[in-house]
Amino acid sequence: MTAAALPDMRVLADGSTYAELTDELLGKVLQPPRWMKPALLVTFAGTLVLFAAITYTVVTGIGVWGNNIPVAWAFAITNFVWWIGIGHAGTFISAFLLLLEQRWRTSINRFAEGMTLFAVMQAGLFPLLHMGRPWFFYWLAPYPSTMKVWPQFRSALTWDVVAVSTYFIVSFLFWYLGLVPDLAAMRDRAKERWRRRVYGVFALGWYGSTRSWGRWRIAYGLLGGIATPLVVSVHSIVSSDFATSLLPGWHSAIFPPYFVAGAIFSGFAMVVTLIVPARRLYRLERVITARHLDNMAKMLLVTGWIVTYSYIVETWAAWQSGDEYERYTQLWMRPFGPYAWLCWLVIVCNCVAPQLLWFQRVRTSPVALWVVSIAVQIGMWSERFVLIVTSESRDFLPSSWRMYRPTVVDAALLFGTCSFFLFLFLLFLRFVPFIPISELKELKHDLAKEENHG
Amino acid sequence: MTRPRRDEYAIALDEAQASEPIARRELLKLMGAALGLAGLAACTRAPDQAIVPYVVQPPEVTPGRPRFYATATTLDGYATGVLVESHEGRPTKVEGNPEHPVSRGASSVFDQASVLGLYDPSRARSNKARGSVASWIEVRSALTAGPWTGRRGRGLHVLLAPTSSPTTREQLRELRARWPEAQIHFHSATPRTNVWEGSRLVFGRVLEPLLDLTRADVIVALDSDFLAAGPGHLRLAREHAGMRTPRGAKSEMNRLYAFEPGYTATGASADHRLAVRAHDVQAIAAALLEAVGAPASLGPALSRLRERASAYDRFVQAVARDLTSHRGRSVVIAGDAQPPVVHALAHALNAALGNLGATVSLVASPILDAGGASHDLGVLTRALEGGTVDTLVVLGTNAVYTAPADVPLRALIGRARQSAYLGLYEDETSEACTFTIAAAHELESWGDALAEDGTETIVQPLIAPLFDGRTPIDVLALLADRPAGTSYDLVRARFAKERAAGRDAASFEALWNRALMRGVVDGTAFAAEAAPPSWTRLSDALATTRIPPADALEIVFPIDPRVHDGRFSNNAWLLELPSPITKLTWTNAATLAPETAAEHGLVTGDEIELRFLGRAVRAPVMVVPGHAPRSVALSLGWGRRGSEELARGLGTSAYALRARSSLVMGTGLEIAKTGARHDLPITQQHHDLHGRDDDILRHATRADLGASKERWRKRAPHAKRSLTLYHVEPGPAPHQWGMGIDLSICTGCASCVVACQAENNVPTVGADGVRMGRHMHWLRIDSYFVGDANAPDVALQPMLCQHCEMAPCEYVCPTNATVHSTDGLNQMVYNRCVGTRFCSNNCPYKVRRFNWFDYHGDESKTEQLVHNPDVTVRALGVME
Repeated sequence: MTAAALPDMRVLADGSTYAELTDELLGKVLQPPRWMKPALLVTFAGTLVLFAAITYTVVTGIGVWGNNIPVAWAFAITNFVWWIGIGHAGTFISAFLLLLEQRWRTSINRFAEGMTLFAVMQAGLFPLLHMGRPWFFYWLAPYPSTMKVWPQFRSALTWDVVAVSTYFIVSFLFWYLGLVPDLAAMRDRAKERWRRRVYGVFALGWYGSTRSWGRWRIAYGLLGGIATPLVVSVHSIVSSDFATSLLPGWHSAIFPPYFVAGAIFSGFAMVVTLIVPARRLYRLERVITARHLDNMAKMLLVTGWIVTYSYIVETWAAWQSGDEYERYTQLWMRPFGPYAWLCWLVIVCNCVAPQLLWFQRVRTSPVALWVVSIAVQIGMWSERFVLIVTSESRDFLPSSWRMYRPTVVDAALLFGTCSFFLFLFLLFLRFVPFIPISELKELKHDLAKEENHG
Repeated sequence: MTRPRRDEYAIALDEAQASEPIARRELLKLMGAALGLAGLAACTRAPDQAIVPYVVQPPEVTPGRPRFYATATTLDGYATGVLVESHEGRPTKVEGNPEHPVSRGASSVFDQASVLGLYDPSRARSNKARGSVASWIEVRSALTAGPWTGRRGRGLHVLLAPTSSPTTREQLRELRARWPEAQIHFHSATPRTNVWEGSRLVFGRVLEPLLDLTRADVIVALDSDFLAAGPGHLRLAREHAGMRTPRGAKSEMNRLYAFEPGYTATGASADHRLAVRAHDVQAIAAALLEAVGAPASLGPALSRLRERASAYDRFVQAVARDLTSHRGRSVVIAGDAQPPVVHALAHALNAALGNLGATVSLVASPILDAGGASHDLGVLTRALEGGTVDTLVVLGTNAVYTAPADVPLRALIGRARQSAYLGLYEDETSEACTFTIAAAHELESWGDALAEDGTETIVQPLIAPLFDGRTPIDVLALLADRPAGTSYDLVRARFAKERAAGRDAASFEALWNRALMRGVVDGTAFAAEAAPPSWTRLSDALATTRIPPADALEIVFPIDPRVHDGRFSNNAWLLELPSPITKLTWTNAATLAPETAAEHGLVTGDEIELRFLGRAVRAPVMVVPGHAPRSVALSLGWGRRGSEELARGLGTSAYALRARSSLVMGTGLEIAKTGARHDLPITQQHHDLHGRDDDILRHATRADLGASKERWRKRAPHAKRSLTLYHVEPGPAPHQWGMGIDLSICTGCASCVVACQAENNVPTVGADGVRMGRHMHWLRIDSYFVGDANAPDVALQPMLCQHCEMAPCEYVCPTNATVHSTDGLNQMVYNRCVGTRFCSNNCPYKVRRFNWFDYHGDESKTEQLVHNPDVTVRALGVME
């Protein structure tokens, strides 16, 4: 193989000056591409579907969904777990990799953080919506009620509220703090007065002094430190919604690590799903290089194997437990029961498809990687569905066994959140510097220094 | 009590209409204010209807404290004594009357559901003449005039439902005295003529067997569901239960054998059950009689009849041996559906076994015969066809719907000059009649009735008629030309004449009050009749009994356990009550055996066309293990076409197939798959235990009772697991509630299910709700088929909140909405619930229910009256 056939594996394939880089990256925001408007319109229409479905559900009752007794949780909780899992990759990239001083994170971290934020917003909808009386959602929070009634702290749902809201707040702060210097750059480059004003307000009076930079770095590092354990804790707690129950197939000690791995798995898949088209449409190949794709593909491969391993352990533990209900659910109901086709779809998407990523040509080919990432998204959604619904639909007493079938409203909510997510994401691309310019320039500086010394 | 309130409404309405029309400006102002107020009101969830204070409080009423009144409910004329709970003049719940010999504190599903029927908004609300509202005076004057008044009553025909009312008996006597040429007929979809004719064959007159199961060690049920249907089933179930509660290995239990085509509660409770076609039961009875030792004169006829039972010879011989070893301590019970010869053979068996006078006594029938009036529609049909009917009065029997298909009563009624129908609903019969008279519900009526053993009960109303309904007593009084008197006066007068002759006013009043208070009139039970059997008539009858063809497919029309003959088919509690074994709701289905289904390539939900005697109906199929092969059952009471809102169009009418010659069964049915499919609303979709017997339904034999406790403990599932996280089990509180259900005596009659629904304001969700798996029953009865797939046993398991000591639902609730009481109860705080449904997920018994919609939101004022004020009516989005 000749050198030319090898993909360019540099972290930054760019020869321009700092000013040119700034101009180019800001230009992507200041002069939006032509496809932006129709794309925003389409996703906005989808968002309207979401809000129509939400209104219908809240006004009429949860009965408009397909849920029943015994399947009291279905699409809503599946969507919740899926969306919150997707968020994890963002935090993983921006915080975990920051602490590990991985340089390649720089080009994609804001992108991934934005994705986290919007995914957590979608996720946050579902715990609210799936309540019979969402208008009393605040009863789950430990607020000082005059009646001295507190939430029930033994319930995993109460922990959920804390975990998810902490996660949202920290992710937001982290994302915003990283954004401040770039907002200042936007302010400085903007032509219209109002634009300068708006960006100025959000830039919090940033003027780029050495002292500011010093403080900023400390704060950013600290927030990274705070955010890192959240990568592990949030999905661990979400998993305890299931693990602390006594339902066969839910009651399992492997859930926390298994959920975290699954979350990062699906999150990286989502980053790839979003970044591959964005990279192409915004002509970002020099900033988001084949190296990035390759690294993310490797992450997919690794987490894919952790997930696969978890499946094996889960199944083995069910057999080894000797519990007939556990065995029925894991060894019969899931692989051969009425939802078996979904279970096998999960295996194909989550365990088989990522194996393609052993090949570098697949890892660096945007199209192939994108296809694998879509497979993983589908697989991870189905995994949560299988996990939740199969356990509920056949638990202890055969007399209460019953299938679950989604309704149009269930489908509209899933479709609607996907649209809403994309809508928010497009708005983010449209109005905010989605490549961290200052950090990128710093990276460029460091790379140049290394080159000189090297 | 309702009248003053109604008057108040009327006044308010009048005032509203009389007030000045509102000017435009004023209107805008008011609208503005209303909008503003609506905004404010939206902050809370207070109801926006007007409420009326309880201004005039009767002296004996303490608000919030229910009162109980003794009365009786009747089904096909037979009374059950009940106590009705009344909240501030509003009956809400029916309980059995412990002093009543038939009830003994128990009540049936129909009794339990009767309060819902009382407040049914579909009830006939006014009298009608030719479809438009008419006054009572109008109807009354039309009915009492006609050519028959000048012809000693010739042309007046009265069609009644079977009744045991002594007042009605007196009234009919008066009617016949006043109008000697008037004709009286009785009609019921399910008359007990088989029982009466069977008795005539043996004893020469109408007698009914009165069973005493407390002395029966061996019971043989010949197609008889005596534990869950029939006039004395509450008492029999209680007596049967008493014989199945062994206190140790030494004490005995009774043994129940059942022969039946489809699974019933009795079959499910039986120790040994044989699924046979309904037509083969007579052969079994004959074989049993021959094996036990028949009177010589019956010999040849029996051996001809018993041929068909040879396939079951081993089973039959075993039963016969058991019977002969329990002479005088056994009983053979024939089902009402079986032809008279089977009843006669049962009498012969009981006579041969020395059971007559021991476990079976013979008493007169409490049902009136009004001078030998006909219990089928034959005489009336001929009269209508002959055009000799001037005025036809139908009292409380929906004859047009329940008539056999070969009696075109709908058209025939039109041949009478005028006709009137007294009914609770504007149903098929009222459509055919000139006049409809709104009937009073039993809980609104004065009356009287006899139980199967003759015990008399005065029926007293719990509430003034909601829709100004009349009773049959009112209408009969009108026809008999009796000076105006209320039904109360008539019932009281009859009581005074028969029970208090020669007493002074004070002692009469005491006697009357005592009868009302206790719900039983002392000393009114029938004395057992001495009736020597004679076999000559029976041997003649047996000699001419037709032996049904062996291979032909039979059709059986059983009484529906939920809607009876169709009279309860607008009662949502009963419609949503799962069938005892199949758990089917909101419809009926043609039930058949897996073998029969396989033969015709059918699975549950397939639609078939049933062709029988030239008529055809379509019905979905339900395959039931344990059903007799070559037998198809289609229960009565469905496919209604009246104006009842819920009932209309549900299920298939079996009456459309019934002919006079085959009222309960017939052979020669043909079935064909139509290709259509039905999604049947079934509450329980899996009846197989999946090998979980050891955990879910442990059973043992009587011999195990003597075994050591250690042996029992070993069978308990938790003994298998040595590791536990819970080292400290919660100890008993000073006071701890407990409730046990004896699975060995539960018949699955489901009265408890309806009772729970009534007591706890449990909503119904409709057929679609059941299909979606959203039925709301707090208490359900699970049924499982266990053992041999071809002749499975049915295991019944009432399932309800177990009030777990360490309740899985409690620790997962994020808002503390479900908590443990200090005395060990698992409580639900509805107004604290946000509806996460985690408790349901974590409930291993899946007895938690969720308000998917606002189920009580669109209830009318009448429907709201049924609610128990002591139990919260749950809102949208909360668990229960």
